[in-house]
Amino acid sequence: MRSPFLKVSGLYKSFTMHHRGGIVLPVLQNVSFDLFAGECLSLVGPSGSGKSTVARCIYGNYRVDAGEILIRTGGDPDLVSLPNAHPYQIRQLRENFIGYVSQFLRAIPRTPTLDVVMEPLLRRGLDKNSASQHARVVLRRLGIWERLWSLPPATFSGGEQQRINLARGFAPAYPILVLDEPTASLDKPNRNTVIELIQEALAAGTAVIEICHDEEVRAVTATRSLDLARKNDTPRELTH
Amino acid sequence: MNLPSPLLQVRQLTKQYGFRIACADVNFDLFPSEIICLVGESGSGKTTLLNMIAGRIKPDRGSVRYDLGELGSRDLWDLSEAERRLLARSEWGFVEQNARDGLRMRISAGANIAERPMMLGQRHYGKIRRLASGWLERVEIDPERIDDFPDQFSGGMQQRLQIARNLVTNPHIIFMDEPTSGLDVSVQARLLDILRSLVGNLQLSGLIVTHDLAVARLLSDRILVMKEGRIIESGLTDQVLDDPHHPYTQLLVSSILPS
Repeated sequence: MRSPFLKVSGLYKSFTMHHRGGIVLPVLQNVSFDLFAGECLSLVGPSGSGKSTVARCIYGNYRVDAGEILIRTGGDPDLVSLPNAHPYQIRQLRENFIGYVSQFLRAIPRTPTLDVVMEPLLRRGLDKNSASQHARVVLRRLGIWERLWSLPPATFSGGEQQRINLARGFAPAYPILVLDEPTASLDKPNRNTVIELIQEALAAGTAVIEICHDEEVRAVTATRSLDLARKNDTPRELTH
Repeated sequence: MNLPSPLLQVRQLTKQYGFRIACADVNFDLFPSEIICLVGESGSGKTTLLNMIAGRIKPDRGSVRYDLGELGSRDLWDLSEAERRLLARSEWGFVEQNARDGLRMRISAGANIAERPMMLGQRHYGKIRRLASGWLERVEIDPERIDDFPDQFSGGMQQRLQIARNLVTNPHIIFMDEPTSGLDVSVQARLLDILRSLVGNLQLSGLIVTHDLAVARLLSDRILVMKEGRIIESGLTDQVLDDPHHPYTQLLVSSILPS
């Protein structure tokens, strides 16, 4: 029997605003799903329904209140619990198993574009030459001009920054890839490139979780979707 | 997915000054190639904690165990004064908040960098000079200025020189106390960038005290938030900054000016 790459069960996440009178925002309530190799789960629901929160919990950026997130590592143990992992282990999970592309690039002052894309490859132990070659291929595919590669992306346009972020996310192959609005500020040709990249990743066995308002992109990439809108109910899974 | 053995193990570390608690029951491990930032406002006990871990202030209670490789893990405060000094010189670096406290102002920039290698037994003048000049370049100081005195350098250059002086012998751990706080913003960015690439290339571990969360975001893997001598929240840097739980951490995070 196949086992999932990612197993999410009974996820709860709320935010307590201690300096706003202790308001508690219960964002996720009992979210569960399994994700297998080559599947693309699209998180849907109106703004504020917790799509990005799910994405961030899976990357370990938000700490969950309750519930389990199991990541398959193929090692010992095979399934690693993200909520119970030591921060050092979460870093290892991120390096090797979970990729995450956020909506915005967090630019590091003075770091050139090529280095931004190479970094996750170098962290995996790739030598500089192969990392650089690989990064160049992805940057070229995403239409980032070669003359920009040596410049830090801080002053680039929103669309360029997003494509650099995507290049960084797609350059290493991850078993699990989380994409939060990957096509939001892209023109049509670049959007089509992102569709191709997602489809190639799926074909190679990556399990993808996407948040995507662009229906056309969703239609050709998603194999399943999860509706987070139904607050008083367990989120309902829709099949395509 | 197993944890490596930690370089430093801090347990129950406590220090009181009279009735005032400077630091209470602090526990954490520092792993190889990991940078931890201690954040919190002044008076929260960050510097006292750093100084106890770096062997500069004796704790009232608790232990700091350091992995000495073949010699096993030893409690810092069971070592003799001489052993502790040797450890500090060969295995650690300490970057002071004020560069003048960490540099020797009456000897040249080159001699400042050469001091540690010479203490550890290097004698060949030509080699030491090449080493010093190489390090000046790495911290973006013109090697032509190798014979200038630190007094002739700007604040940012002095701080970069102090970093070179500390890293020249490839220490395992670097301790830093507010390394960027006295510098202009533009000068800070350059220093942070140099630190960031050095830490990555040398596979250093580090413990950095800072009240500046932007510095923590840029340099550290993990954050420990201190308040009134205790660690009140800890986690991966992005977890603590993007999803702060403790009221005090939320206050700190919400006080950052948007960039």
